[in-house]
Amino acid sequence: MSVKEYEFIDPFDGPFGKVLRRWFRLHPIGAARLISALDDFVERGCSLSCIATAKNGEGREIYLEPPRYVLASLPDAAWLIRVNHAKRTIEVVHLLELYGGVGEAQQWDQVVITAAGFL
Amino acid sequence: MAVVKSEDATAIQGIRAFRERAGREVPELRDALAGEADAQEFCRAVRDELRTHRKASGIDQATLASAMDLTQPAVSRIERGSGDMGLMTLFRYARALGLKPFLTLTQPSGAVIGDEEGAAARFDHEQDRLLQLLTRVTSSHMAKMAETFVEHREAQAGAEEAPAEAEEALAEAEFQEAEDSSVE
Repeated sequence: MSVKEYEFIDPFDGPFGKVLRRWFRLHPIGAARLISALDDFVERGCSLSCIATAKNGEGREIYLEPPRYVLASLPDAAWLIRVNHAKRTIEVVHLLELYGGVGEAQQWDQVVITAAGFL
Repeated sequence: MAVVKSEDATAIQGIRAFRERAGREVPELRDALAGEADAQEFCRAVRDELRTHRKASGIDQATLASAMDLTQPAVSRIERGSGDMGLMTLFRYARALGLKPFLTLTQPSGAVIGDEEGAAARFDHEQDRLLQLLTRVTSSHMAKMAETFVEHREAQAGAEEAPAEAEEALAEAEFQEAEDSSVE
């Protein structure tokens, strides 16, 4: 499903905007990559991305971006992104400073739990 | 102030505005964002080059898709898509066109870095290959030219020989006639 016409909510205005600014200052290159990942997420569309949690019936979903298959082989920082189909919004809700590589399966289990908390 | 391009989708506009705001509010981010923009531009240039090679080969997307066992929209996505493109995809696309990617790393100035000897050897190899190709093409043309030349010379020689043969035949006929009359 395309989310190109959804509204992107600026994460600097959100509850973890301050934390995000600090992390961006410490890791500018990774931060720039993460912002590019947002473009990729929108271009790719929901149906082609990775669902971290299933729909809860209220039209809200949480996605891991970059996708799991990318991060599994190339550990990197990642976003948890909430898509609200009812409100037609895309919102970054969480930053994973490092995801993937060895122990990815265990990380995935943890991410699923974390994601559920953002629904 | 974020630059809004009206043709872009709402979400893309929102992300662009966030990117610009982040660059303003986190100065450390500016160089990194410029680097990302360069990376995006590089990917676009690679995609453009693939499309240019395909068109130069006179192959349409559907034919290339068939050669790659893909659909035409998939080929279109490789050429027109955005963001990262896998190296394997690049290689497969080039191979389907009968080409092979030739990659090297350079300084922004253009100087080759890292494996200079390897890069130089690859350049030499490529030059040799092109030279061989040129020689083959040239030899083939030379052979054709030589053949044409020989045919032309033979034709010319034939034309020159014809009057001489006629003269010889006439002389022989006169000689024969003289002999015949002396016998009588």
